[in-house]
Amino acid sequence: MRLFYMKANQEVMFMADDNIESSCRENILRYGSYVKAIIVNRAGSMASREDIEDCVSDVFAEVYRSPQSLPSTAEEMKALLVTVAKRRGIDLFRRLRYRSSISADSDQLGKLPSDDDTETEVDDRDMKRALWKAVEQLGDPDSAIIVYQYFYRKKIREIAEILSMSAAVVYKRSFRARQKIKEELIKQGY
Amino acid sequence: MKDNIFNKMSGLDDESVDKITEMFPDMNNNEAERIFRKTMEKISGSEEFAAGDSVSGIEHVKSRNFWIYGTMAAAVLIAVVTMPMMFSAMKRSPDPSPVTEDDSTPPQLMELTTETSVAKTTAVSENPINQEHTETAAAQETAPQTKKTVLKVQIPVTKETDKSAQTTMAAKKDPVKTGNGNVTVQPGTSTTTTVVTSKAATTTTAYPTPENGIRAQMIAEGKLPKDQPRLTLDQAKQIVRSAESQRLTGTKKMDAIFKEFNKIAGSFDLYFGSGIAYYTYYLDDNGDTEILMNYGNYTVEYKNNKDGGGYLLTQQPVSFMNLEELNEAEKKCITSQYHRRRSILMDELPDDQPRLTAAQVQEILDQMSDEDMKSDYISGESEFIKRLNAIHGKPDESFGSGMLYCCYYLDDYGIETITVEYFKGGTFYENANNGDQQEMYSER
Repeated sequence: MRLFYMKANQEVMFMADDNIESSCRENILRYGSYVKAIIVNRAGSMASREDIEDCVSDVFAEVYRSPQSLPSTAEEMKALLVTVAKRRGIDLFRRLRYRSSISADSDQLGKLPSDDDTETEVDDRDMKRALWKAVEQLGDPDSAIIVYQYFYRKKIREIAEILSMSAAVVYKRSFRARQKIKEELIKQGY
Repeated sequence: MKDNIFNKMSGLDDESVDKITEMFPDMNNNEAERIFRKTMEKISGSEEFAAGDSVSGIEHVKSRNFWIYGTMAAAVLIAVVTMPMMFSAMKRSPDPSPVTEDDSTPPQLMELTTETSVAKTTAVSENPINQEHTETAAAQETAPQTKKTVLKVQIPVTKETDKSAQTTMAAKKDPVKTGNGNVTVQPGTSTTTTVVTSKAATTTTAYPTPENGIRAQMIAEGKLPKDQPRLTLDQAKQIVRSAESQRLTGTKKMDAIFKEFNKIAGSFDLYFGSGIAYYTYYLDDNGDTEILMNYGNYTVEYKNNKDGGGYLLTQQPVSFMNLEELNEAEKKCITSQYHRRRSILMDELPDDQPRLTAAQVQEILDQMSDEDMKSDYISGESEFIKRLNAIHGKPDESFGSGMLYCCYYLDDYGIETITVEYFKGGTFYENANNGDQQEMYSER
């Protein structure tokens, strides 16, 4: 039986083959939402829920395919998962773009940036930062509603369930929150 | 779908993603469990060798045993010689039932070791009730595995009343399919005849039957109770009707039906298909009737394998209905009316009337004022709806009681739709396949 060590939260765990499953399950519970957020962030609105779930499982499968080379600390494990998740997220984005038959010319990932592009990219990045700040400033539960609705692409019904609210309340709060964000961004000159 | 600022909530920097995960984690236990199962399938499917791994060294191959070839040749020879004899015996047999079972003789237990191909069972969770239909690449890539199962079959030993009876075959149909063929064998000079029901015989074949399907395996392994009921046709009809009355379409509809079927039957009997998934639920233990779920065209079908008959339980898409079917569909769902299809069938609209695209709807929406969105209480139409109809002809569907909605299908199957509230003018985009649902509003 192959044996290897893994440290989690500075505790040394002695792992046998049989423990791979429990280790994998534990790490999915611990880092799954983080990995998912990275993939959602990379793949954007094109990915369906199934695509995202599949990609998250790809990340963990890639890490656990060679259990003998698993990182020895929790920090290293997180770093490895982040690296793999970013790569897999970009792969998924490219695959979905290809599937939706958008021409390679419009693929920002494969294109050499021109000066104009760089300027637009910087503007875009600033805008995203300002948007996120505006969302953060909304406070609970409005920021949660916007994040679940536009980052995780959840339906009003699902958000209502997560936040234990009625769908009508979520809908109204989302509408008002969006107005607030728009006003804030207009103030900032966007 | 539309270019508004909230679509920029992806491609955020790492710091923002960190904060989002910290403040709004999004993974419940069910989702984590699904991901875990998929991960384990992928790991076990690939063993230790991931794509790109290199392998070096020399593999020593054992020399083959030539006696195996000899045995195989002998088996083929026996089959070739005995088959014509069996057929001639069948033709000569005047009475198909010369054997009577003697109930006083206790049945003997016999172990049959069968090798059954379970190529797709790796994709099935231990408890398919909670499993959502997901077509993963891993499931398709999983190599076929061979599972060895030992089945205990009751073989009643009977005494033959007609001593001169010869080998007979009662089943005129394929015994594997019918499951009721009696084969009489006369061993040597003994007067005792062993009757082997073909139910036992079926287990020795790889032909998919209710007895060697996934559901049967789960019952054999104790994952489902032995008395787990089968789905009935009425239940299936009711479940499909309920899913369709909730206005579910596409994968969402199929997933809802799949879950409900599994709540009753425990599991499907068979799963097959490449690219498109098909699930079979047998309605009886002989496999005479079945419900077939087809994820390719989102249909659920009743099939009678005995007479080859069957019919669709799901409604076919409105865009392909004839007038009669349209009337029936409207009768079933009294709050719905299918205007566009009816107008095409009545030649009020051309057959090639274009459909709206989401981009066109957004463009029209951007040109509308608040007043344009409000419906006229007499005609029920707003300026916005009139502009949509100018392209689409008429809405595919209108529905609702109290609050009225009209719905425009962006494709023939109604997978992507735009729904407009008649009087408030709220406009919603929905994709039934990926669950995407967004309100559209004017960027003005």
